[in-house]
Amino acid sequence: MPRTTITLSEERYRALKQAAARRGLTITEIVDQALELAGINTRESVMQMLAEARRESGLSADEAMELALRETRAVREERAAARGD
Amino acid sequence: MRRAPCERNAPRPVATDIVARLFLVDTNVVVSGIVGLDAQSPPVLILDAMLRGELPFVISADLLAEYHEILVRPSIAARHAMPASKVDALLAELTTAAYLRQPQAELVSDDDPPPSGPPGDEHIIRLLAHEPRAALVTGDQSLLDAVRGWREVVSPAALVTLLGLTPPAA
Repeated sequence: MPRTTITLSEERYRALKQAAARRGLTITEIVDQALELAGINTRESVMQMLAEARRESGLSADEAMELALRETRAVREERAAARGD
Repeated sequence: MRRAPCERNAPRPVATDIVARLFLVDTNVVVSGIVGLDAQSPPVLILDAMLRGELPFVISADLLAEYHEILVRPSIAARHAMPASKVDALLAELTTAAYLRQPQAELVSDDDPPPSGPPGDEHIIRLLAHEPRAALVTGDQSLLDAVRGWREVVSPAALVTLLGLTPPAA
């Protein structure tokens, strides 16, 4: 597994150590969780996720656009109605 | 509801009159690019180009929120089967490639009066008012018709032709 070095302020480093101790995790685990929550993914992993979503959906181009248009229009009309337009 | 040309085999409108090289990609294109299986369909090609950083596009907080709102609606989520965390990850990746703009909440322009689009499309109009260099890419023919003449508009199929988008080599 690759290793890296990062520079933190004294305050951030203390906070990191305290958070790790409180949660019973290592600093590596805390940083990994934070990166996960921040949505840090490789483009490859995102493209893979997208490919799986497309396979799961299985809609033709026509069906996909019909569904997207219908749902987008529904949300916009709901939003307009909520404003009293 | 009328649709702008989208399918691979649909007649393609002439796209050579589009000079914009910055685009506002409407929610219907992004969403159909996620739930559509056909790798050659214009929305899929457009979304992939956005994610690869090959299609300069603008986004606002309102538009990003709408992408999210539609993608987590039950009827859409049931298709792509991504949990909200994956939707967030996908949109986070998309955002890293976007040019973020923050238009004013109210449209005020005597010199460049915006059209009144279909109900609920104000965030699109606001973003186009704020970023006049952007061309609207939408599959919604009524929005396309409303904006045409005020800003550049292009259907998904025409954009694919214009930019020569193709699936990445395997």
